Amino acid sequence: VSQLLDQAFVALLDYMIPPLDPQGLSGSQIWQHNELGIEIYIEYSSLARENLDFPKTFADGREAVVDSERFLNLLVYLQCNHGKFYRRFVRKLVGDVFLNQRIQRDLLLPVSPPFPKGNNLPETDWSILEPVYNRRRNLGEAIGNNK
Amino acid sequence: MTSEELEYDVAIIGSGSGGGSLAWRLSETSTLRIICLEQGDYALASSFPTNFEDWEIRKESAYSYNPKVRNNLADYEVDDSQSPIKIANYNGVGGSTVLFSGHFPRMHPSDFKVFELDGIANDWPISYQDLAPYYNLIEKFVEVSGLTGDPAYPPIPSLSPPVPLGPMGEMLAKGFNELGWHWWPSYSAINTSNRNSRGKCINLGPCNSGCAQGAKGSVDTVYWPKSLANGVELRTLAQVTKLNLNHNESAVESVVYRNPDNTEVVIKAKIFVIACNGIGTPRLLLSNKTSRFKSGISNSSGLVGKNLMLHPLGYIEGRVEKNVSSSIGPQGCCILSQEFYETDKERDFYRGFTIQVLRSSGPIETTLRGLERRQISFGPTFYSDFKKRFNKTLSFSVIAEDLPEESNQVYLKKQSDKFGIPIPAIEYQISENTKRILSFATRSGKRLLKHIGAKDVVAHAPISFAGWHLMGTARMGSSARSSVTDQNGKCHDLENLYIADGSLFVTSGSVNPALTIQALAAYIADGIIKRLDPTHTIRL
Repeated sequence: VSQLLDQAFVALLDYMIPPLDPQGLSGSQIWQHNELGIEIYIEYSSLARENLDFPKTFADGREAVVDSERFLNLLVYLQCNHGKFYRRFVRKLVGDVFLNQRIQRDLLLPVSPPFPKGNNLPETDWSILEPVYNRRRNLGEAIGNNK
Repeated sequence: MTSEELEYDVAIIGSGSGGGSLAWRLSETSTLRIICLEQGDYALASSFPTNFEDWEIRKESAYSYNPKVRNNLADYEVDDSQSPIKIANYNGVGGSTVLFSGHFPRMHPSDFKVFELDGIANDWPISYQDLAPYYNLIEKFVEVSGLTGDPAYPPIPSLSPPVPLGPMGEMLAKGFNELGWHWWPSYSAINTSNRNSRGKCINLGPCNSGCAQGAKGSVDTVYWPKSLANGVELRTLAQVTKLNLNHNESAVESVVYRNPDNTEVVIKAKIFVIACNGIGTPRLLLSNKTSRFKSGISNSSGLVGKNLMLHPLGYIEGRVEKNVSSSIGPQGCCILSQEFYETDKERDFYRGFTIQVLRSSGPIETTLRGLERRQISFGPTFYSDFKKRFNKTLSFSVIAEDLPEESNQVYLKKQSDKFGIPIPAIEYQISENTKRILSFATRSGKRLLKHIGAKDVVAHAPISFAGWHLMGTARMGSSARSSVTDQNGKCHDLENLYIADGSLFVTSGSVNPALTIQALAAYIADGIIKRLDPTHTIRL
């Protein structure tokens, strides 16, 4: 996927989502360039062309390495000035991260739909309610003045 | 163009908690010819987000609790711009229970006599004891899960095995015990074992976007299969636009509904029941005007649409170091605490609140919320921030009792919606009493979380998109001057028009209202049967 994206966008995704471990996947490897991904990428590119200095300097090689502060400033800029786009972008990226099966496995996430077995909750030992019963006996009437 | 004219004994408008329960009770105990008109359609379990791996993304679209997001064609427009709490109803077979959490507690005996006990608001014309047999009936029919013996209530005869608390619930239960506060496992309209065609809960979490297993006892899955088998006719995509009165305007003669192809059908019946809940019911009554009822049908009291109660909610959250599997289990059903339910003269407010312990979110929502609150950051700490929160977040809502105030109301705008009916608007302010309840409740919630050692404890109140509970806009009462219906749900002004939904509530209590609406509707059904056949013996 990263071959379809310009270097600056790849760098941004990789900054936002670093690999979970040295062999792990970074943001640009996780990014799904589906219909929504393409839409967001096009919108980002257009915003970048019009408003952002960083992607230009990055793309023409003047700035091959960007420090974290620069990425953070870019995200803050997008959040403050293009909130609707930022929310869509973040939602899509976070969705891609946690729908990635390798990430799910590496993070030991619980099963999620559509797996038919679901999750187990251990049976509760209801003796944990004894203090509530005992308190009622001490009070001599229903808790909460429930006349 | 009128395409049909049909005649029944009972015509019900709305198929949610009120209409669904009423149709079932009528059809179980009588041979009446019953029709129910529903403006929405069936929600297909196969289309619920929980069928898909990307359920956390999908739940923000077609099954969002926010009508402005989900774009359901049956939803009518509601102008809630003058309310800090936004409306979150759902239109379709089963009504809002399709998206409810399944939290299913009773109201307290004290809820029915707030004026008698505290000298504020009004008393209901019926008591807890009147409704108790119907609570029993509905709990048995829905097979509510929980434990008997709760000291906050008079005895509850039988319940199905409770939903397990899980490690998160147990941690909070210990906290409640140490503080000496009441708590009890939730009363849940959730199957804990397979029953007939409905599966048991498999603890995926997101009940509020529809339950694909059918484990959640929504009205479409529990009531309607039975009622249809009993012979009730349910017409979907049937938008009721008009109530026609007889010549001297003493009774409803017929209702007119419109099909999606714009053909109109006239339904005649002996009895009409409106069950469109706290906004839909006044919408229908206020939009139909006659020479006798210039301000809306059955509105001689002027109270149709008034006294809207919404249950303002607060939300409290914190995190612990240990993985307590907090995202596992039915989202809204774990523990409830009613330690602060009734009036305590030591506090600066009347009545109180219920604490409802919630399961936490899935990984995507946990992350999005964490990013929003600056608890999770993109960059090098992204995964470590996530791991600090996921399955380690404890959260609960506090449901504040909302007392009736005439200034809180549903009224109709001049503009009409896509169905040609004037758009309902909400004028609503949170009262001083409710603000004090919320303030005390959020402080109490924080105290509990801090007591068990939670970190990053935050509280918000009121929650904006939380207008699920819509009550009070056609209240019942003994006087035609101070209420819309009598104690049987029959409108004072008309001989054969009944209401059976949350709009009947005189006060709101501080519990989720679905069970009370369903019990009240079954009670009203028995009154209708008795009226149509005085020899009928009611068996409960």
